[in-house]
Amino acid sequence: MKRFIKNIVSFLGLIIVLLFVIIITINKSILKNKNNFKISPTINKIILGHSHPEGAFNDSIIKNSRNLASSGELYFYTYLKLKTLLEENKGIKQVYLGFTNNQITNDMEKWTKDDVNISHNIGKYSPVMSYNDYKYIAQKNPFGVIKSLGNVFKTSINFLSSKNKKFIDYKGWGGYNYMTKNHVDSLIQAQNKGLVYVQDVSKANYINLYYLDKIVALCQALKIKLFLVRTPFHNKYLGFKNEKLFQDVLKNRYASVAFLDFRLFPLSNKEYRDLDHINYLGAKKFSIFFNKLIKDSIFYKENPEIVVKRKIMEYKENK
Amino acid sequence: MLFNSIDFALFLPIVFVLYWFVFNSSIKRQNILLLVASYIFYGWWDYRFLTLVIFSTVVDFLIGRAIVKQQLKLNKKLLVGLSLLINLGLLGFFKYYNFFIENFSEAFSFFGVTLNARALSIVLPVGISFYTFQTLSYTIDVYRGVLKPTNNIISFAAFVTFFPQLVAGPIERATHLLPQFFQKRVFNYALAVSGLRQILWGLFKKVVIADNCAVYANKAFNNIDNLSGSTLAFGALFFAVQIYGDFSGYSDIAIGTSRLFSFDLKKNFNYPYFSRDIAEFWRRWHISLSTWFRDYLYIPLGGSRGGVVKKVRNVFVIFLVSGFWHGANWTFIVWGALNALFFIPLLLNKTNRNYIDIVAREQLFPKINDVINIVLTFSLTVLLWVFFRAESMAQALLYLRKLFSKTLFSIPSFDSALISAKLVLFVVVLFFVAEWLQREKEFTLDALEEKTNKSIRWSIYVVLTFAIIYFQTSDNQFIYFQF
Repeated sequence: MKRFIKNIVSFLGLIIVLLFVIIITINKSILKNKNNFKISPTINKIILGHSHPEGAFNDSIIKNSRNLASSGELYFYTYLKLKTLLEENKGIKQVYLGFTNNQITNDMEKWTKDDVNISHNIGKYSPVMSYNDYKYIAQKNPFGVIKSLGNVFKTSINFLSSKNKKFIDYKGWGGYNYMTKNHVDSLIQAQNKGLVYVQDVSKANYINLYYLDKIVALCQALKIKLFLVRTPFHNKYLGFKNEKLFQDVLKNRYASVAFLDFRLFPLSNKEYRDLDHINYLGAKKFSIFFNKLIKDSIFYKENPEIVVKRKIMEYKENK
Repeated sequence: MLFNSIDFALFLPIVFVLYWFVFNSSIKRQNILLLVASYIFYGWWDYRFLTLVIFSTVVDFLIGRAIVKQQLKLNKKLLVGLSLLINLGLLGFFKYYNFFIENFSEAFSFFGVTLNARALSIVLPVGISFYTFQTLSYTIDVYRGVLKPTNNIISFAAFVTFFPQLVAGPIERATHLLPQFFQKRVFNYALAVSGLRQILWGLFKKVVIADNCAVYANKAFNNIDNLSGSTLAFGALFFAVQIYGDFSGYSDIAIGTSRLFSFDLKKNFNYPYFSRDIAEFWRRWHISLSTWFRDYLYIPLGGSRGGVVKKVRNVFVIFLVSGFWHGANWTFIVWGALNALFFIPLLLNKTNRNYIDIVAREQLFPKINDVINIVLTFSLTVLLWVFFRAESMAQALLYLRKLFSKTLFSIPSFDSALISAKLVLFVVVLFFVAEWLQREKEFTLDALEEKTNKSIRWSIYVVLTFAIIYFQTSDNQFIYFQF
């Protein structure tokens, strides 16, 4: 029995050591090549966040911008991404970060602890994660972190075997999502019949905001202009039941950051994918409008929140 | 609990340590531990269905004891009939209720009669088909007088729920497994190492082979309209490999795990894709189920004795029942019937036992005739799996129609996935080469005995382990859990 256990422990130890050696070696080589995290020098604006900005900002329309938002992404991972991008790309001057009502709901708790979310994101960000970053996630779900190591190994090996690709492109650090589908009518019908699950948002969950605070601090330290952005939503969307809490957070926690609210930007049903995401048609219209505001330097005026509201009203009237 | 999960990776060593270091003072204590562990293992999926397992256990334990007390043959018969009624009744309700309701409704509506029976939303308890057959083997064998009933309910319950094979077999006979719960177990280093090797090989089959073939098989079966005949042919091929890797992989892990506790389970797969005709295939595929049907259904019906009509009837019965055992869908019944159709000519010509031994024993290459027979049998099996995999008869027929279209000779194309179809195919070929080279062994890694150089053995283990880590996919459910 002693021999059996000794061999088992030795074998498992060997596997663990080899796994870590391979992952660390590959990650170091990825970090060493600075080109892996470089974006075009003409880019001075980046868009970050989860699926809402991912599908709303068409960066081929918005000049000198790059959309690097990614579905299901927590601010924890966005922070890691932003820190790396700002270090390697000194041309970035403005950051537009998605901020919507679901960021303060229990969804964020689920995302933080979910095995699939952890595995997917650690696979993407492992080269830029420190021991403390792993520890932060491991405190929420230790098994999730262990399970993700296989994914890290797999994607790292795949990156090595791919040629002429930058790590940020290969790993899908984000990008404009050209959404073609439209489920609005069926969703409204289902909602009218009471078939849609409505989350209880009466209690706020601020787990995700800890790293939003760090993003704000990082941008302030590096003198990068940060904007929080709420993308257009369908008026039948039920996720605004925590609006008061949301506004309180904005007022009390992020008073120093400009909040650009496009929630009421006018779009027709066919321009939405569902009630909280716009599709490629909506994205085109919205991005043209957004680009015009940037061109007119609207966001740098005093009280950009009020100016944005006014511009949306004017846009509605001119339609 | 899935074998290929972190949960099981923690569960197994804990049970192992408790079994050999804490509960090792007596067989009784070890059996209690195995029973509790098995209930935890099963309850991990849904603890409510444990009541069903416990109910089946208690019923058959009591019926077994009651049978031997009866003097009259009729009473014995009534008791074994009661066991069949209860066990198959539960299986029938959970697995086949909706199927019969829907088909009766359709049949009656054909004659203009509306049946008001409603289909129910029934969850199929995992493993019910497996443990039902296992516990039935006990009462039938007690009735037949080939097994003495046990008075020890703990050992009997541990036999019914033995966690390595509880949810997907091999379906053990009471005559083989139950006595092992009364024997003193001594840790055997060689047996335990062999068990670990078989677990590793089973995981490789499941994670590397089956799960990656599943990606492409699913693509094919979900996009029949948009794919060429050649791509669908590869899709069917991938499914054939998937189901073999999946199910035989599970059996390997089950057998290997049992060895860690000094238990011996029956071999369930014996290199079936190297079969030279369909009769040989069925002697090598899901052996524990085939032999169960042979001993408890086919032989009592008369087996291969009697006239042609009786022979044909018996073969059809066993294949239809076997098909239906897999699921409440016409696709399984047709799959069984087609297998019977290909088996019957062999039986009638008395050539069904032509190939008993493994092909080309002690030779590296087979004869050309054997190659042709293997290729033909494999191709036939691949086509028959289409019925097994399809969700409906319409889908199966559409698949075959599209497969045998003009595009059968075009270049197959699958959308690019993280792991390419070419790489998966390459690994599958390597896998079958390894299986071919070791086909005379109990399982492929069995050849790595102690006499092989340690560094070579460990290198192979490390490569297989990293292949398992690298090739893991998100879809990791075992196919046979649904049965």
